[in-house]
Amino acid sequence: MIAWRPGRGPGWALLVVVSVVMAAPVAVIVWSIADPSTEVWRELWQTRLPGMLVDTVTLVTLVVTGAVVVGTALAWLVSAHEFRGRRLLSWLLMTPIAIPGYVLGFVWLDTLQSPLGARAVRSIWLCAAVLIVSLYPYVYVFAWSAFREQSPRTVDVARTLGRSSFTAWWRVVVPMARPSIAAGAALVAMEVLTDVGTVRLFNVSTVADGVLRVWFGTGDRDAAAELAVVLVVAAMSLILVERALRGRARYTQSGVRGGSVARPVTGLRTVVVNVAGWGVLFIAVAVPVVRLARWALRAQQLGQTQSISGDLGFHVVSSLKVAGLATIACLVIGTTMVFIARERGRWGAALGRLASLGYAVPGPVVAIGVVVALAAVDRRGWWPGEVLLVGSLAGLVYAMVVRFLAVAHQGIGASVGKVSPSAVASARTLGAGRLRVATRVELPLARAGIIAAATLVAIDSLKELPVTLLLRPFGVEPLPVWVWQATSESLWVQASVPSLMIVAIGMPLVAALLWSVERGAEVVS
Amino acid sequence: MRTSTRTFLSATVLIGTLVPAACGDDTAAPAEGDGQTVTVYTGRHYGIEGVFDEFTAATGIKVRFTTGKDPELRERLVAEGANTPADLLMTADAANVELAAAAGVLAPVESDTLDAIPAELRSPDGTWFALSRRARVIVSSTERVDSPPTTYAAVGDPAWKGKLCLRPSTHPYTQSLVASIIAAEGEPAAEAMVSSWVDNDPLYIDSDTDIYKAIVAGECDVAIANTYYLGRLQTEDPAFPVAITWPEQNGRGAHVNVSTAGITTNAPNPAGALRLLEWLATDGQKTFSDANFEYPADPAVQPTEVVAAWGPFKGDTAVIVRLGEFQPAAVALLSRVGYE
Amino acid sequence: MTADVTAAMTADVGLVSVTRRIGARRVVDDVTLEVRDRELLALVGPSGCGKSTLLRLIAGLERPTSGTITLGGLDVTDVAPERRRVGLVFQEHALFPHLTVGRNVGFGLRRFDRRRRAERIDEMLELVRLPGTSHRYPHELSGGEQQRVSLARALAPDPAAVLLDEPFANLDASLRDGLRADVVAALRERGATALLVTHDRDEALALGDRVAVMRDGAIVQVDRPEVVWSVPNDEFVAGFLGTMSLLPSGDGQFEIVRPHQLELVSGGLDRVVEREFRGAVWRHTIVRTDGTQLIVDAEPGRDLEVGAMCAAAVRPGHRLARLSRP
Repeated sequence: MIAWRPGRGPGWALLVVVSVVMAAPVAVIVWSIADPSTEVWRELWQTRLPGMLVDTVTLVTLVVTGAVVVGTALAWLVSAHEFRGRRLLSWLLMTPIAIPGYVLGFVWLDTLQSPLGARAVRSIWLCAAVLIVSLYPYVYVFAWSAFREQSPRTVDVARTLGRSSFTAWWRVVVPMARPSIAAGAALVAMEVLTDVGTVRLFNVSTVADGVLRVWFGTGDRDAAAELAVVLVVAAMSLILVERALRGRARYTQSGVRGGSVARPVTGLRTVVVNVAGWGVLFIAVAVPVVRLARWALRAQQLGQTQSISGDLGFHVVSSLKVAGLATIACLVIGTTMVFIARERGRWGAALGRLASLGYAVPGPVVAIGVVVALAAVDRRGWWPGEVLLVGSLAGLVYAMVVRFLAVAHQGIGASVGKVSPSAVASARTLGAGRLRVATRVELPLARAGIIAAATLVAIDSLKELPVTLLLRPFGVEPLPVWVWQATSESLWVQASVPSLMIVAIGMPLVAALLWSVERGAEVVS
Repeated sequence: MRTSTRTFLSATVLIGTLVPAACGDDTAAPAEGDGQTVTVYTGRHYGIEGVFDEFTAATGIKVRFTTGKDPELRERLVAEGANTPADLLMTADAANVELAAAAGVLAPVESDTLDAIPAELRSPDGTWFALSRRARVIVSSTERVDSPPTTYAAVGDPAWKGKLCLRPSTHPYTQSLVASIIAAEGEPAAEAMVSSWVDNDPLYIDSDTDIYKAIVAGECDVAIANTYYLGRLQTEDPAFPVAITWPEQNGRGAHVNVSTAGITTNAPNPAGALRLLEWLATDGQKTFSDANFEYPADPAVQPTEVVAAWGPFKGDTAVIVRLGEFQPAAVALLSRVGYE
Repeated sequence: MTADVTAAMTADVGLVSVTRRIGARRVVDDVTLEVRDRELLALVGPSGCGKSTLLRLIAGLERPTSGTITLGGLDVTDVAPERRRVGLVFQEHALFPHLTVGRNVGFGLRRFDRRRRAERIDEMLELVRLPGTSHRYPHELSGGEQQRVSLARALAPDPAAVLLDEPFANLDASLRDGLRADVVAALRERGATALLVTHDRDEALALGDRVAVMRDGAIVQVDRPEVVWSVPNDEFVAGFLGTMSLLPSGDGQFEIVRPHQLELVSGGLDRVVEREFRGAVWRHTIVRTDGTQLIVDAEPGRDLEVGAMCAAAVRPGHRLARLSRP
């Protein structure tokens, strides 16, 4: 193999270009930190910033803890126990991921308002509860796939060494799954850090909310951007801390193949397992969906089943078009980056992280960064013809890729990394070039992981609101825009139809995600 | 090296086929300047499609529009510069249109037709025009409140402690209300007043509709809210148990904000935009205002029945063109006093 | 109560009429067996015969459909695995990868105080000849070393019995012999009662104090290695434990003859059809006039070429086991 060094070869050039292009919108925003508006900062520090920091830390801690506990416990319930309906339950437990947080937020806000009162319902605790219910699937799917990879023998040994089935799980199964659980927790933390929809509903002032507050309130984009940098730094620190915690220990067993660790449960335990699993589903899926369905019926009666821009079919086509293109783009770019970057060691990894920056920044900030970056290109006329990037479908897809490339890149990287080196070596000695090995051996072997990454990106782009809102072209109105138009006027009835449609489109994607995880997809590195 | 060149080429080909596919429909191209289509960025979206349909029916000019939040649409206009496809910017708030004008993305217009809009409801330089008025008033429970506050200052009366609902400071309606108070009474007085609201431990609800519902549910007795939401609620239930009190009727009048429109500096179809703007200021006034239970900007045009039933009132319209000027101070003030 | 049931009930490990059914299949079929105090019992059988399931039943990882399991004379049939005091060693060692060697070994020593736990860990690592590795991680050790840690971990809490499931199957032949000796030595030194599950007949014969042969879920024969080898109960046991040929003894019965028990003589009516070199001997396959085959060993110098005509005869002094034709 050729010894690669930075700065050599067209692959390297492509990698640098892609990373720079992906990081540009964030860089445009972060650039403002070069000239800090000290006055705004002083005022922020004296007024809202301490409260924002406290709220952010509190909320992130509550939600991450909650999501880890709920997600890990549920993953254990369905992987360590055999009972009627286990497969169905393990699938359904993943479905809250298809329900956007802003939808779950307004449904629960309205549902709890009458019994609890408008004041009590607007609390950081309930906000955390709603976020936990909507985000635990990230931990669940990671923990579930990690548990599946573990050898059941490990639990057997722990049992015979005097540990009950719970302590064996707690002391052995969970610690071994820690990197996966931590990765899921990191995703949850990112989602909470960058959430601007749910927190607002519950009157929780986080830093992300503050970014919009400063920007929309004063029109001072630079000050808002500086605040956004706090989020980027926080997200980066999270990742580094997790890496550092791993230390020397390893979490995989060499030469160990996974297998079912499920044991039949009987008696009281059956009740506990079922109540826990179906109970979470009731809160996370059944109540919201039933609520939405009743509103949708009402919308039907009132003849409010279309938006100001068109009917349901039009919005569905828009959503499918945008999510589909964003997914394909993320896969192609993510795969290309994985294959080029891995031969380039630390530099390659660093560029990969650079290209993933958009995931750590709130959606509205990415959206503005993309507008500014693309508009600069438009003004210079680098793009041929009359076509402008801002307000084009390409511009919107680009923004989605900026926001979600991290998801695809991580998932594909992890799955390709798992392909046995001997398979690659055999193929190379049989005369296959690197590209042929990649397309004929590695990608097919990593297929499950790539499908998992694709479905995650598709679900995310289907739900994405701020980027869609600012960058959609004329004639393309994805469903979240309709939800927003209705919810910004508190018209829950009108919001129900597009909300239900997002959930309905998301369900088969969830099924595909689980299918691929069952076939050994790595959802994280 | 050769294999990696192939990787590079294949990736380029893949991306190359993808990007044109994504650009395939030329919706991003600026509208043709044949006067047949007007492109609108609008921060106001409630009932807007009916208004545009009527305009098209009347003039034969098509309207394509994109909705969004006022500040985001402003940022987009600024970023697009000369390349913008937008002919007209519509906002739901005076301060935001003022910020857009200050950013140079709105062009001054001269038109006798637009004189139908009173002078204090349009920017002095002609960059934007109000199309409808919205009053932000004091609302109270008809069941529990006999003598509601009649001034914004009276909302801070300790009698309302624990019985007050307000919209959070993140919303432009709150910001422009406070901006108008600063303009009228000066910053120290405004700060004392908003502090007294905060001392009443208000329940912050980020939805006027939910504020009205909270009053009905007994969560609060008094609140500050826009009238048009009551219009919607009263249409569904004429006996809705919340009453309007017009504040400051012995002084400057109730706080009024406006829906606005302005022609963009780089409009590809300025003539069409002007046609639309003029139509909205005249023939379209009624449809535009009625769609959202607002007051037409042209005082000669009557509001819809539900709205008219609330009676006449004195509105603080003098300050409207200066709301943008005071908004940053308002935002800072709200932060200082700990308004949620 | 029969004698073997009584024996099973009082032994360190006992099974009485244990059956484990999965669906209609009897994976373990009416097994009655005991592992005696300080004994190493080798349980051998072809893969899929139910021997690993039997081990899991003893460990409590699975429940029998019927029958009784005792440990140290106590009925543990319904006792959870963590209360049974058995140690487990697996083929894939199943060390906890996130814990150091020391903490792996100390995992079962929950009730020990700090000092005693540290002492026991050192003692165990000494026992398996891996002193000073306490702070290393499993992935930093070789495969054989990992397996020894696994044994130390199983032995540390002084279990009533140690259950070893194909512990040497994953290792190189060169490593295997040394490790086998070490493991047996460690078990003997601790005076442990052990059940070794293996599919390797040489391993079973070499290591077991007694050998139990299992087939289709049932125990076919249990006895000292030399007995099961030379006096097998049936053709299956005979064939499974070593290469053999059947000689008709005329009265409708057969005698089992091992290759070394036959002598090859040049000239005769039989023909050598195949041969292979095995180090100490050449192994010949010969076809007799009636079409049956015999396997015969002959020292180098007494071997015959393929195609040679020959005769085979039982060496003097060798006693053959008799079987009714199955």
